[in-house]
Amino acid sequence: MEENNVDAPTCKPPETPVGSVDSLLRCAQWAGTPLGPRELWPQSLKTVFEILVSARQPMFAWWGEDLLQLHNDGCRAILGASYEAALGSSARAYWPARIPALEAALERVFGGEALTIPDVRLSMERNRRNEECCFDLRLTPIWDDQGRVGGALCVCDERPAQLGETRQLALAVGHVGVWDWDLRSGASVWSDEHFRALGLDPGACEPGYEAWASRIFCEDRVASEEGLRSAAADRRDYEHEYRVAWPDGALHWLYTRARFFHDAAAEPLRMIALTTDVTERKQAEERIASLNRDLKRRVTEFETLLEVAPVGIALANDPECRDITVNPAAAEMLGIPTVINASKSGPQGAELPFRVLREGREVSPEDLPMQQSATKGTVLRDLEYEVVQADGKVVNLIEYSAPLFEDGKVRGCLGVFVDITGRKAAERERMLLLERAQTARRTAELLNQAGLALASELDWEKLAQKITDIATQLTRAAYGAFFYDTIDAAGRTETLYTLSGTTRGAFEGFAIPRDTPLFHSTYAGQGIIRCGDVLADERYGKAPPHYGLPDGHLPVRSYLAAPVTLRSGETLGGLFFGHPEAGVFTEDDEALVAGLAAQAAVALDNARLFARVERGRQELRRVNDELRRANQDLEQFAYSASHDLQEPLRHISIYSELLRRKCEGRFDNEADELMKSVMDGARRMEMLVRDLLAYTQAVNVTGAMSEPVDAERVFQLALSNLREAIRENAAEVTHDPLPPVWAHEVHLVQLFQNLVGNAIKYRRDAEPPRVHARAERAGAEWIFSVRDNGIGIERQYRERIFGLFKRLHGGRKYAGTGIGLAICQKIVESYGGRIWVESEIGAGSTFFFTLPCPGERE
Amino acid sequence: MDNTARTINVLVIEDSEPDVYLIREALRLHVPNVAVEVVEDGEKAIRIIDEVDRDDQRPCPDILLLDLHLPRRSGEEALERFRRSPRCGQAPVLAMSSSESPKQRARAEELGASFFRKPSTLDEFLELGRIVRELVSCAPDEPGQT
Repeated sequence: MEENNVDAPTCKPPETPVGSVDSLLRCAQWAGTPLGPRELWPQSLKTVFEILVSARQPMFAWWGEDLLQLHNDGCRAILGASYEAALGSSARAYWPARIPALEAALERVFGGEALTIPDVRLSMERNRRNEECCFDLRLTPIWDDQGRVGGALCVCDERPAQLGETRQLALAVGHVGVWDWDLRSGASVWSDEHFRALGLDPGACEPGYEAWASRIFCEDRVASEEGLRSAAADRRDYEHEYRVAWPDGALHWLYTRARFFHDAAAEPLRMIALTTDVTERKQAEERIASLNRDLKRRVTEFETLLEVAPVGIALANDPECRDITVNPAAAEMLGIPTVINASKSGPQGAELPFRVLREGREVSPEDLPMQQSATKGTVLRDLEYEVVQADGKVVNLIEYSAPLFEDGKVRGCLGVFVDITGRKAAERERMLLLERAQTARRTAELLNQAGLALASELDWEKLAQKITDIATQLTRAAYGAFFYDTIDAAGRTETLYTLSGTTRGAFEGFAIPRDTPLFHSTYAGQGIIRCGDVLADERYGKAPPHYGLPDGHLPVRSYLAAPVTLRSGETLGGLFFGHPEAGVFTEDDEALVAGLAAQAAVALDNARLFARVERGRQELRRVNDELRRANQDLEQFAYSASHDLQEPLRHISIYSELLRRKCEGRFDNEADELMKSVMDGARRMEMLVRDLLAYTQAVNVTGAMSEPVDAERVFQLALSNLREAIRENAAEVTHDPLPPVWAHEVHLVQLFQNLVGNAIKYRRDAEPPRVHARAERAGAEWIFSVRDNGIGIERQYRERIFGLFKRLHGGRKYAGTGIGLAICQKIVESYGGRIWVESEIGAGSTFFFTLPCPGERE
Repeated sequence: MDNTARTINVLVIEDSEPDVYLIREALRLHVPNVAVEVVEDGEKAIRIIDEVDRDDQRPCPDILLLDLHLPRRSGEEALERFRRSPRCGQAPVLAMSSSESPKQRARAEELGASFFRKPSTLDEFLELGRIVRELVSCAPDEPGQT
């Protein structure tokens, strides 16, 4: 059969389609079959053969008792794979197994009866799937040439499918409406669900095309009908969604799927349509569509945002972040095009033309924030990075990264970068300003401290050393020196120096810096010199013999020198600083040194002044000491002299008297006069000696004063001592209230007694003495005054009267030793007070003296 | 006791001859039956007191006149010895000085003595006799003579 099949196309008539049953029938080697060669077939079988070949409807012919089978092309779907093998074979192997009623029916047909076996279910392959179809098998006897029944013709009439009960229930449960439409008869059967889908009660109308079409919403009707028509014509399945207006006015979406079944002649015989109410689905779809539109809009917005946002955004869609896409802003920050994979850990990561640094060190790809975030599944925030682009441009970024999750697993990562280069620059600028302000403040503070330290130092050499040390420390110089001129005791100018940061040994071998081009402006007081590299300065290396630094000099590249100029304008010397590295000294250092040099000048000036004052003070103290010693010697002498003189004077007086009494009557007048002179002289000498003693001991009162003395009381005491003189002269002594003062009582008594005594003694003859005492507060002291109406004192004597033994008048009229006022002066001055007199000749004098107020003393 | 009948023994320690003369004048003028014994320094005074203490028959001084300006400390040593004497330790002492200073008075008080400033007029000096007479008459009697 196989070989024959292969050859078959060559023998088949050209009008028959290749591979059809017809060709098979015609080409079959019937001779090799139980039917024998076709020429020998009875005429009736030949006729049947021709019918078979021309008919499209499935037909079988079974011949002979063995039911040798012939079938046509229409049977191909029924027979399936056995289609060829069955040809010419006995049908008994195939059919009776499937159609139990067939044997009985055939027996009747072979008996000459034509009959139909209804509702035979046969599986058919249709549209590449098996489908159970229902057939009516119409059986007719085929008479042979001898008038006997030689075989049977079986015509298969397919019936519209009758749904099984289960299937119907299933469809009902699934709310699937069924429309079975017999196109030949025009009869339609609608399931209850179909009625309901159309918004009708089951059986509410006659089912059919018209009824269906009339239910369709007007806008959808044309398309629905047209679709059904064309599907029928094209032998396609019909699939359509349309709206149906329900009686309540609601529009329901229906989905109908229909299949047309055709006869062998391709005429549509039947249509089965399944209809589902898909309103809910449509609404859901509507919602989904709306959501989709929304989403799409958002996506569009988001995409626009990514495009235009100045924030860099990077997205990785793999958990290792090997593939990172970036938005334009991020690309710009990294200095790469947007289209390339920006992942450093990606396949081309090593070739990316940028480097990422954190705190100055390059970050390895796996430590980058997105990679870290994805690996650890954590959000990283506020990480600052420096991106160095291919051209060296540096961009400061602050980065945030967050892992993206899907089903609890990291599926990627989102990175956000903000360019903070400007902010960083501003921050640096601010820091710089802050630092500068701090430096300025620190400088001011240091200068202040230095000023204090310098101001408290008055020793020249120590001061110079301090200045050098402070300046060297503050300028961070490796070494500093201060060369300054002093004038020695012999008046010669000598240049001294102090060093800091090195030992004197380092300079021992060199001459003092001289007026070379480099040093000139400093020594001339022309301002500060600051060189980043002194070796490159044009003033350097011009002076013989070294033409530069002498061999063995400490290495100096950074150079700073400031003149120290006094207020007088005299430049005293210079502060010099050096460092072996270039560019060490800053503008701030320069300002600092300028300030320090000014401080140093003031301090040195002060030290000079102080030295001068100190010398004067010491001289003064020496002279003072000498004076005090001389004074003490003098007083000691005065005391001893007066004391030792008293003894013999006393004897002269007493023995003169004794002599006078013993020789009473034996002396003549002249002898009496002489004797009297001796006694007067002795008495006078005695007074002098006594007053001199009083003077030397005037302030010789020991013991501290525990409380002020009441001047009022003391004044009364003095008056009682003077009562003889007051009475004799009929003097009027008055006073204002007098205050308590810090003084020894004996002193105050002596003061008042001497002054009031003088006021009475030096009276004018014309009127009795009037004396008035008072005290007036003047700051921290009291000014006492004793005014009289006496003879007055001439201007030229107003100072002299306070001297020892200074008397203006002869002893005859005004007795006295000339010591009283000297004692007064000595007492007043011992309390730090003053004594003076104002006077008018012939009108009177006023003596003033001051004493400290109580509470003001100490 | 009849003061006028009894001899008043006065021991004077004084190195100034002019003053010794004046003291004698003053005592002679105001103290009846006075017997004056003058020594010029403390050592001699001590010898006398020693004798007095040894010899009951030796007259005992009824008063001691002591110049405060004796050289060295002999005056004070003599006074101390005088105070230790069983016979004359209770007798009054008059300290004399030519200067009137609180210091001198204080020193006299310290020694348990009365003070006399040598004045510079004759009449005042002669008052010394009256003072001595008063001091002697007020003094308790010598234990040996009661």
